[in-house]
Amino acid sequence: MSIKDVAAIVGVGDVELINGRVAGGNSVLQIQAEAAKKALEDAGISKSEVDGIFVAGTWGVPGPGQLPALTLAAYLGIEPKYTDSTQIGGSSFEAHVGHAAAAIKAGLCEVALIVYGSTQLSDRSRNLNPRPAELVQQWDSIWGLPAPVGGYAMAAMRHRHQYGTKPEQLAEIAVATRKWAALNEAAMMREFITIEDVLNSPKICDPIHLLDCCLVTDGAGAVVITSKERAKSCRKKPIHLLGHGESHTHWILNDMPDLTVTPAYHSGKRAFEMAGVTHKEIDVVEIYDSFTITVLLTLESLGFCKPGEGGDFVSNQHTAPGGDFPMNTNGGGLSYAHPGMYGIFLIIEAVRQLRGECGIRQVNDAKIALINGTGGTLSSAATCILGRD
Amino acid sequence: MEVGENLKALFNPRSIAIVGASANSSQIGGRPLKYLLDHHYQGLIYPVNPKYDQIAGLTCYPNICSIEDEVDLAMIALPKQLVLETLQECVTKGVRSVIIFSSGFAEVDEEGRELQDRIASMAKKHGIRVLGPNCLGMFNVDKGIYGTFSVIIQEKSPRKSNIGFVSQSGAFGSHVFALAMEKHIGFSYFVATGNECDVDAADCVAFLAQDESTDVIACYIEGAKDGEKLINAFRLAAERKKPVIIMKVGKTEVGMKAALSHTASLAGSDSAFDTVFKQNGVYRAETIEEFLDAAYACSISTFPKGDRIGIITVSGGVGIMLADQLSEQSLSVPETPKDVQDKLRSILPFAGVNNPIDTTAQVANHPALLEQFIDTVLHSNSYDSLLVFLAYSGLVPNIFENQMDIIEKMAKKYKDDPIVTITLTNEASRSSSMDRGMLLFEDPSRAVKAIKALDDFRKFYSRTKPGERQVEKKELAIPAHLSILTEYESKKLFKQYQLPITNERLAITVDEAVAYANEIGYPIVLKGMSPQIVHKTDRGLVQLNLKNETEVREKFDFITRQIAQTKDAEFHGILVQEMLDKDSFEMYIGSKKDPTFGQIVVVGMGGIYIEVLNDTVIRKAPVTVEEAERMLEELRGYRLLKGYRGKPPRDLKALCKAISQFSYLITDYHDTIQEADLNPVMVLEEGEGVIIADGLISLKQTLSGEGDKLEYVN
Repeated sequence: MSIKDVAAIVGVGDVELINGRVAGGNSVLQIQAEAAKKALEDAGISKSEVDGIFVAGTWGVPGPGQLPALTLAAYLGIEPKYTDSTQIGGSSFEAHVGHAAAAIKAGLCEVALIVYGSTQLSDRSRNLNPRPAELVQQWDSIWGLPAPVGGYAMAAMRHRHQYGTKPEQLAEIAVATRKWAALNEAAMMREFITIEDVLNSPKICDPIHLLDCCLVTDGAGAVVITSKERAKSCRKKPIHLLGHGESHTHWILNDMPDLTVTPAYHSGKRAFEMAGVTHKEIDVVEIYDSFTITVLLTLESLGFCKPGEGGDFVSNQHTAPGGDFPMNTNGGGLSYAHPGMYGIFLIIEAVRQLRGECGIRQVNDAKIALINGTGGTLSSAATCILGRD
Repeated sequence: MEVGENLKALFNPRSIAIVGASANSSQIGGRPLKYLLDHHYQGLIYPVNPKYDQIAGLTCYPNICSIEDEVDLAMIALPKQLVLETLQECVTKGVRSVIIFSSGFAEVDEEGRELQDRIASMAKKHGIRVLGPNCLGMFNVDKGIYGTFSVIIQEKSPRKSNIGFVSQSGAFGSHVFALAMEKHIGFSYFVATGNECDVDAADCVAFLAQDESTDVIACYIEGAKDGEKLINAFRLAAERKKPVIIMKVGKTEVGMKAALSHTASLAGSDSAFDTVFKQNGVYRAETIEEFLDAAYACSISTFPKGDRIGIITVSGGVGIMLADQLSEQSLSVPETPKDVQDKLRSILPFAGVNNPIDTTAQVANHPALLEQFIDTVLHSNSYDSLLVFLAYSGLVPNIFENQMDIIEKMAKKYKDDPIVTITLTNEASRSSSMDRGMLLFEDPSRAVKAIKALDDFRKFYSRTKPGERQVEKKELAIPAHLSILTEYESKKLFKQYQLPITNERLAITVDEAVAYANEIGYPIVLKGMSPQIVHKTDRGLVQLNLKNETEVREKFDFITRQIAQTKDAEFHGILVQEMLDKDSFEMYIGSKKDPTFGQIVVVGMGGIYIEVLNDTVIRKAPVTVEEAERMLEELRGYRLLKGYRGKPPRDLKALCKAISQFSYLITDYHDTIQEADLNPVMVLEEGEGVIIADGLISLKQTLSGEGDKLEYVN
């Protein structure tokens, strides 16, 4: 039994950011309501039809459990029949897409709303401090490993050691992503950068430079998924879920089975198998880019190139506008926005590309998109393959 | 207006990179390369395309930065997505100028506009000059540089001439260019400015004005973002006596835009363009034919010394027609002097010897006759230019060759007097006449228009140096918190610009009013001052011809009550003013603000007549006294000012001075003054001056400081 082609994404929405911040000091609830409203309007579906809700975030009412799904659903005035608060980090929303499809297929709900929001920049709640050395964190926090960049830096070091991957090659990803951002009015960072700029930017955690890191911004996004049948009467052409996979292999980096292989290896494999498409058939790719190394490892793990060949794969601006491999076409977490859990924006951008709504940055005739979210310390991954009619 | 080195590099590059170059000449990136090679461009060519190592035997570079040498011009033939980053590379490389062929920018949607704005700000920041985007490119005919993807030059190479051609539209430009090529008219440069994100038509006109190989500038425009810059470019051309022929479209659209304001009927935007052309000696053509004819005539001919036109014709009928049309264009067709008539008669007894001079068809049989006629007529010094109508002889090779020899010889002998030949031509005779540099038209009416254009330029270039401004800039204390100044406040400002105003004083109390009335002398006028009441007469605030203290007290009381009873009207006193009883003529002087050119001065017949008759003339401010004089001459009511049926001539000198002073006031304070008018201006008899009886200034509403917000209260 598969969830292939049973559900379609019919609405997406996000909120405007000014210098990475949400306007008017709106709260994390307000911006999620705004994104949800836009997504429902985009779908042409009324709020009263929403019967499944999917929430993940780092916000919540202080106190035991925080309970974001309860808080948000109550704020939105939705009483779901189906609820899912899967929280596996930045990839949660790609996981939600699969879960929603499964619930729809099982008849547990028909209109699923995935919502995310964060005001981490406005709140100044983000820092590089390690988590308290409790539970399993005792194995790395006490050594002063900055979180989460330290874990990614170690993976990058390992890849360099094993395959000779150069910092210049990682920088190629940041440079190419910035070129896409230059074409996206909504992106926060739009001035072109060079490989030298990346290499000359301050080192945050060797070998990761400032420009290898994603931004710290606010942001909110929402996605509406419904049954294939209900999708037919929506405002815009449906974007079908063709394949899906999810996986997590560890939490702290110490437990990562292979520092150069992410759980995308598993989630990607299952998604490709379900969709029945080959790598060559993918027209546009949206890859979680918390750091440049995240992208490089994910491309290898998904099988777009062989292990160790990621550096060559991204060289010569292969992923930039005009290149053969359009990737992170909104400017990604590196240059567009990154509110902490970026995954929802991978879905939104892929849907817009497949609909042909992307204006200047539109990838010509994009029919099939692959998105891959990553969460934790390269801990979780969820992959979706989406397609239009 | 300096033409920077980088702009020169765009027009005259020593090295050219083609980004997105292709070996396939049917592609946009392939054509410019082929054209450069075909036309033997002498500079260095660098194809750029990571897919190739070599194109057409030239080393192909993977990117701009990998070129070792300096690059003067980079042509970008890439999809729009890649334009901005390529421009960034050009900046890094230190490329001086760029042509962007790619489309999909401001002409398409908001997103495209945003991208274009980013290109523009990058260009501005780094001083790199950018032509386009969405443009056809640039031709430098002499150097064989065809920075274009246009197929227009695929069939044959253009002729070189001294006409520089700028077009905001690529399609219009190439249409005219192709038409010119058909007619064997050449160019020095052709540039299509496209979306004008950086280099605009004004830049190109300024460049051509200072370019040695260009003598005539033909320019097609639809609008201008920077009116002042365009005027400066025209001035550069005028200083060097390089005629500018312009085709400006968008009359109705602009008219609609202008209609948004109630002042539209007086100074719409197209009329502002029109007057700017007029003021700067720019010839405005109405049709493509006229546009090209005028440019061609200016490129070949000298400017005549005067407007006396001689006609030599093989057809009496065409002679009459030419005489009619020349007269209609205000050109003169003077009679042939007696001695010249005798001489002509001795050459050919049955010729019609009075201008238009009819040689009859004899000149076809006896070519020498033509030479004798032209020689005799021009030798008389009675004519400044000559029209020679030869009917269809241009279709008869053996006759026309002789005639061309003669005309060429005569043109050399009388090189200050333009000779315009009119005859039908075929391809061979047209080509041959163009090789000889003859000024030739097939249609008599087109020849008339061309002569008219030459004469317009003559007149403009023979103008004496513009006069000095009449009044220095004054420091005015303008009450910034008001949007409309009262008559009293307005006139205080006019007075500082030495505009003569009525004798008047502002009274707050009735006793003051009586005292002032006695001082000024009866009869007297009272005017209620309230900034909220613009139309004073409608509210009864103007009381004329008051003869004594009782009347003053009574009317003062009445006006005060009128203001008190008007909602929200503030009382700013009552103006006690002399009653003008001298015989005078009412005129209107006012201002309008044009979105492109700023302050426009409007002059018309005054009082209520301006609204009824709409006899007005406009100029871009400021105007000199001489320009003011030309304004008055254009009024339909001009003769009324000059005196008629026993009415005395008016003091035009004082009126012109007032127009000029007013125009400097609105120019000096263009940031503050939204509109101003003097209405009526009483023009007294010659030598007695003018008096401004009423006037008004409205101020531009600006935010008082940065960070302030307008608060809307509903």
